[in-house]
Amino acid sequence: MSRQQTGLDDFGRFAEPALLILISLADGSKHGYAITDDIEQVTGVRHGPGTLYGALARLESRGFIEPVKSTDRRNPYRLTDLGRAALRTRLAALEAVTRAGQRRLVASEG
Amino acid sequence: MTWLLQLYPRAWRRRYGAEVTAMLAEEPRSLRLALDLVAGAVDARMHPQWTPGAAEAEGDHEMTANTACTYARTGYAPHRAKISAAWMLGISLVSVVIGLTVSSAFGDSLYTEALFTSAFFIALLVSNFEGRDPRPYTGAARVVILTTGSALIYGFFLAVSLVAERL
Repeated sequence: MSRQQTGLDDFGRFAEPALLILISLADGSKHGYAITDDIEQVTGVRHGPGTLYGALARLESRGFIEPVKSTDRRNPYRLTDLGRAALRTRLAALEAVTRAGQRRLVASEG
Repeated sequence: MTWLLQLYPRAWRRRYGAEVTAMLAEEPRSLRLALDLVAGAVDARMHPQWTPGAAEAEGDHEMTANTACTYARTGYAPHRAKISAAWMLGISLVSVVIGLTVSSAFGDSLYTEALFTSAFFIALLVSNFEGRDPRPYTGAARVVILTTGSALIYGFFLAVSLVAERL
């Protein structure tokens, strides 16, 4: 697996948790428990550690996030430049899909 | 619940084990949480991810040599690895479901605690048998050995729990 891939397309069932992790880390570094809390606040969904760390491992292996040196057992993570670019790309794609969906919905109702 | 982390590959545990253990300490125990951990373990074994930390912790070359020696010494067959892993995860999962069901029906007791503790070792015993080629025993002999072995493991942990409670 190349570490230079720039998308979440091959993340399978971890694509959504991975996107939410990237969004959570966009405003600063957080450890696993804080990420879970943050995602729950934003989406109402609480991911278990198996799902969270499945997505974290994928993001770290592709260089989208990196651990921050810490003496705490709860190691914080932060976005890398590659991760920030991947998040921008993904959000832009989602925005385009949302716009297209809303346009069609409005057209069908009008 | 942290014993479920034993289902994960060693490299994964060295990289993320402490973090997840800290996280589990703050999560209430539930069937959903147990299933999530088991599903995560299956994924970690089926789709191992390369991370700098895991590679450093594992010592890739040394592990390869050790693994080869282990195969040669025990008769463990790599082509039966998936079957072995399925037994390991299946027995662990069934044990968790039984343990949580009994706990919710009758409350926590030494018997359920011993079941949770012994589940991994029973799963390890069966997984070890099923991962070998040729298998050391077949048919009724295997059933008797595995049943007796499982009962002894459970009995051992139950005895330890009983002794610990009296001390």
